Amino acid sequence: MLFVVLGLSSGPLLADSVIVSLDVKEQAINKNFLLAAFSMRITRWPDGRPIRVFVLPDRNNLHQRFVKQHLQVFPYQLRNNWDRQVYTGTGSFPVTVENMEEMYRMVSQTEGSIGYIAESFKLNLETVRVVDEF
Amino acid sequence: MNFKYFATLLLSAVSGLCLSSSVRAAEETFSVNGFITQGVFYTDNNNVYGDSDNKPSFDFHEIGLNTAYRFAPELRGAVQVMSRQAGEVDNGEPKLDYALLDYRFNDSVEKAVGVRVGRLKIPFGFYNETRDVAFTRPSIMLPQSLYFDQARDLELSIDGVILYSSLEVPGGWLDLDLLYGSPQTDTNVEYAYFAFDAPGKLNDSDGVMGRAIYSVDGGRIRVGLTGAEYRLGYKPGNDPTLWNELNEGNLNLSVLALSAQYNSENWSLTGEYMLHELDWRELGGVFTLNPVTTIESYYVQLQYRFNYSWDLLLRYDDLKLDKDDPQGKQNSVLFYTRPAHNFYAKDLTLGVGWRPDPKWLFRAELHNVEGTGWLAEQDNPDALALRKYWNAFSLQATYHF
Repeated sequence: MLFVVLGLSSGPLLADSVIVSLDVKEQAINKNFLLAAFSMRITRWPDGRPIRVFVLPDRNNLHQRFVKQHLQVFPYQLRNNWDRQVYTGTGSFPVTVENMEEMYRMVSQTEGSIGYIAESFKLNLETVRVVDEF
Repeated sequence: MNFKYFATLLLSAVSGLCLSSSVRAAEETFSVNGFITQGVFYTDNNNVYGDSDNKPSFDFHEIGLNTAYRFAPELRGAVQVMSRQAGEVDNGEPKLDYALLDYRFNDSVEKAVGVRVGRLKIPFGFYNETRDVAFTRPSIMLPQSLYFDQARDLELSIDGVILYSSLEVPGGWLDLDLLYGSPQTDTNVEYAYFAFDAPGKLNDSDGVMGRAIYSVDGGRIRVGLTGAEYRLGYKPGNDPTLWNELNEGNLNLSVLALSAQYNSENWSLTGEYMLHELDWRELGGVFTLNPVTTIESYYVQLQYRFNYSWDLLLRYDDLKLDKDDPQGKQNSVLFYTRPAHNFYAKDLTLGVGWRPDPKWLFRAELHNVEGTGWLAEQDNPDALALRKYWNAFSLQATYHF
């Protein structure tokens, strides 16, 4: 609880980034696409290949901050969408990773993947790409 | 086989699967998910989910297990099996909840379009598709005026086809579902619409349904409209002299529901309103007295989230089985085996939820009810013994993975 409060209040100071695997062609992604992809509402990149979505656990500070600042929704709304899709057979959960190291590793190793990372994390831009958002 | 203790039997199997589901991180094309829910109900009068009148009834569980496989980027398949025990309404027998193939022609943010065939969950209002999945519900019992448990087989799933799409529109996006199929009709549906187990059978049924949900500002505001027409064919039994026998023909149902929701970080305000017309003209029998009736239902619900772990719920839910007879007086004269309060219900609900861990959800709930309109006949066989004013207290534990 304390962490949540601290996480939210420190939010605006940090710029987190959307990262994709190197094979993803998009250099820039608009906000609607980002929300649809992380909601698992759309499941393919424009070239037709599956989007593989990685997220941190619901209660993770970075997850909460990313969802609110970049997707401009609340984490419970994402969770509701995922649950509704999985338990009606119409969609799947994203893959939940435990921490930023695992996020970075999974996105770098999985084709068509998308995730996010905090600014403080040291990225090797030869293994993942940061995309612009508009 | 007695399915009452199915929950305990399956628990070990489910925990076994939990371990194997950790492989899904490595293989995103295949997934296994499930849940197990146990509820307990206690009432001061009348029965809810078993024999709950002045004693706790544990006669309620929901267990679901599903799997999905992505055959190709455009093609998915998914299956869910459910066991639900709910008093005398559901006996816990495992049922195929959905089994579908989903082909998505178009999958862009501007326009996603696809088709699903097989056994499909029915897209009605905000909650119907996942009504048996405890952690998708705002409360232990969904507002019974719209999501009455009695006719659940009709509302649960349908064998047919859905054309669906998600379109980018000004301000947000629009989710559309158009469905045609053959609903499941069993004895519970007869109880719901006839208030008794008719001598013959409901079969040869079909229905069309459409739902549109407009989501504004990432879903901060959601507005929905659902419309449906169902035709349930009735075939009489062998003895035409029985008091409750009906003519061969169709029971025609039509439904119109409006849904609206506002979501902020800590609270959600939700309301739904439904008109549900029942047309018994072709069936005659005891229904000659009141051949066309419109049920009117609505609820208003406030959810408050203190933080990730705790939430509060306050709801007012109102059902009139005959919109033109809100106190049930005329109907209780016509159908003299049922008191006036059996034709409406006003339910004030207060609930609290606790998620100590993402996989667990516990809820407690208090219902203060006037009227017995949505109580199940199966658990309350003598309508004249029902009490007009009653309270229910319930607890629920859910584990999902």
